[in-house]
Amino acid sequence: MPGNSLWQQCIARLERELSDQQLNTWIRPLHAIDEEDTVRLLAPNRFVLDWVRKHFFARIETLINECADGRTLRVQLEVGSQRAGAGKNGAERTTPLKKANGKRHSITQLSTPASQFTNNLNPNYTFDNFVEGKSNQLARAASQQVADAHGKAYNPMFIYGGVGLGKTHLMHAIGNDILQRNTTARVVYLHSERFVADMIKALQHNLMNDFKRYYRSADALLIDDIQFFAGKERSQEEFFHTFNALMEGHHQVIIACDRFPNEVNGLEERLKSRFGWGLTVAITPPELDTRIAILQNKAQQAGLKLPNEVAYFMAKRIRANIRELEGALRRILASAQFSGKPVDLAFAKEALRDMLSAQEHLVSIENIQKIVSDYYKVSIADMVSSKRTRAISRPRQMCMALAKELTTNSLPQIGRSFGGRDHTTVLYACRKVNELRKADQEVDEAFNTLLQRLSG
Amino acid sequence: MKNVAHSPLPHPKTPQLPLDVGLRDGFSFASFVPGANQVLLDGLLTQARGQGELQMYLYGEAASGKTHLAQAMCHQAGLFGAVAACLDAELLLTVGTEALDGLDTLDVVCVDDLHQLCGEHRWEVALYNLINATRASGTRLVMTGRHGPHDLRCLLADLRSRILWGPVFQLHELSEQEKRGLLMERANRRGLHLAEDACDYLLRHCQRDLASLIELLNQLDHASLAAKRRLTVPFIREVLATSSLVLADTAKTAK
Repeated sequence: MPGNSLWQQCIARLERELSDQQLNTWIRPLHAIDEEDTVRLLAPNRFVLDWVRKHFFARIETLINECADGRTLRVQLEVGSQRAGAGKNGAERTTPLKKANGKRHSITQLSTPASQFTNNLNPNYTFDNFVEGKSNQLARAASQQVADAHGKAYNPMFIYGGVGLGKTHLMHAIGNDILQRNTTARVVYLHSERFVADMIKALQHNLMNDFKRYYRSADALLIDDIQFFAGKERSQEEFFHTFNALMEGHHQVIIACDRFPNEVNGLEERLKSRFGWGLTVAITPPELDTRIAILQNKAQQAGLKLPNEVAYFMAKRIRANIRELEGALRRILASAQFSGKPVDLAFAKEALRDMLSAQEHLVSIENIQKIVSDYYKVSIADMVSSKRTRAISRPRQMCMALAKELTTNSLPQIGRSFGGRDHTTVLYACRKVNELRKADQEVDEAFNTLLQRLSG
Repeated sequence: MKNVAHSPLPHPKTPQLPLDVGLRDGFSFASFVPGANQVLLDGLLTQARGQGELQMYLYGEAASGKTHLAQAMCHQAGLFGAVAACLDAELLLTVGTEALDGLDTLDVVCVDDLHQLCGEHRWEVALYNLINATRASGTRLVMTGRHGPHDLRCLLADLRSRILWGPVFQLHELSEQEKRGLLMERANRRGLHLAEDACDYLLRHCQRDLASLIELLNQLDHASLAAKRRLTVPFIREVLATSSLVLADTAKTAK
């Protein structure tokens, strides 16, 4: 694209003038569009726009014209985007402030007709790939019924449960199912925060009628993480009216929350009461066998053959969050794709070490001294003293070797932490421990045990 | 006893000021020595093409290379023709959560030092929204932080859960051999000859994290130009005597 080529030339020139940070924060987020005598630069938000205008605009204008092969170009800076790939994950964002192709408009151009619905649904979340277990079977059955007869079966439907247990999956599954049966159905899935943000924008730009028309004409409104409405009175009021309008029209409302409606502090009583009109179902953390089945299911979708012992290991370690299970699986997949090695238990343990390490990986010399002194049952005072008996010097040498291995402190720094010793003493200690580890299995085991304790 | 006549440095009153022609290493994948972080680098390269994982979280201590990778990611995405942004938490804190608005319209977004944003409700909600929005739009998201997801001071379980949604990588420190190789290579690129004994000396006497070592190399480069001397151990010792990076009593603190 000529616009891109011109803009790339401009960036190449700016690379010589600006720091990497300046480029990556302010310049690279700009999207350039070449339109005859104008180059439009689209910034993702007002903040980037203002900063660029203040600090770089004059220079950009000069450079663009220098690179324009004699053309005189006007440079226009605005908030917006024309990203071809928006929504390529399969899910489109719902907002009356945005067109279906992901193209963001300046607020003054807004007048999105209610017919232009974007559903935000991720087609990858379906009933078929929802793994059922004791913890979620009621919610799944109810969801299927809602999808079968939306607006008629349970309305509203309120799904609650802790984070990462599959509420969102079920909501998407309902939405996708409704759309599969009726492709013209107006289904809108969104997070409550998006509802709030859109309402604020609509208020700011006097577009409340568009906003109301958009949400109140949905056949099925699926609103996730409603707990974020807490304390936002104006948003709650607007949602209350939206809710009432949808219910009166027998349109389906599905709400997800991390807790039972009555337990959400800061939520108006009238909303809590309405949420209880239909069916309220809970999802609890999945049992071990369900977690294993979820892992196997997701592995299969990703084209990975996951041995049972690996799935068992992961499911035992990650108990209460399906997102985390998915993240762990993606991590194993990344390692497997890179190395080309088959996934076995040892491979999985190694790949997940970073993720499962619950302890902070911050090792200080003081911490090493403490762990080693506990291990060898010698006092720290003795270790930093001038005593040279083997019972003291061996733990001291171990400490020094571990400090070199696990910290970035200089050798003189390490030496000073042991009663002001010289860096050559530290070097000697490291060599000595290396030799002993090769010659004496007990020393090697001790070193590895301490290393493991310190590394978490 | 100090022999003034053979002082290695020019007279303090008439210092030779070297031209500022130091080579900027730049934040690129090419200038990152992966060591044990090859899988991560591979994943980031794929993401920079707008493929692979939707999100990744990398963590590591100060000066472990997080910022380098976040900036390099953005640079690489730019080379692939993508529209990308890298936002540093320190900068974000000086502006406001609005700075994260609309980022889901980009191809690649990096949020550096995310741990600095955790613990404050409005920032956590903003990050939660960013993750939701980028996943929905297919924007590749890279987040970096000092701590592993379980050790972040998150107020919102919803946020922690979402950070864990993609692969998590810990940045592993380079081995001494790798650091040695890197120092020699960087010195070489500057036209400096760093002898093995001089390299050993640096690794024994200085703060051994990469950022400090490279900063030290910059200082040595500058000093070597000014004094017109080679990087010998005695010369390095003299320069180190005035450098704040040497024998530092406290470990390098975080940004």
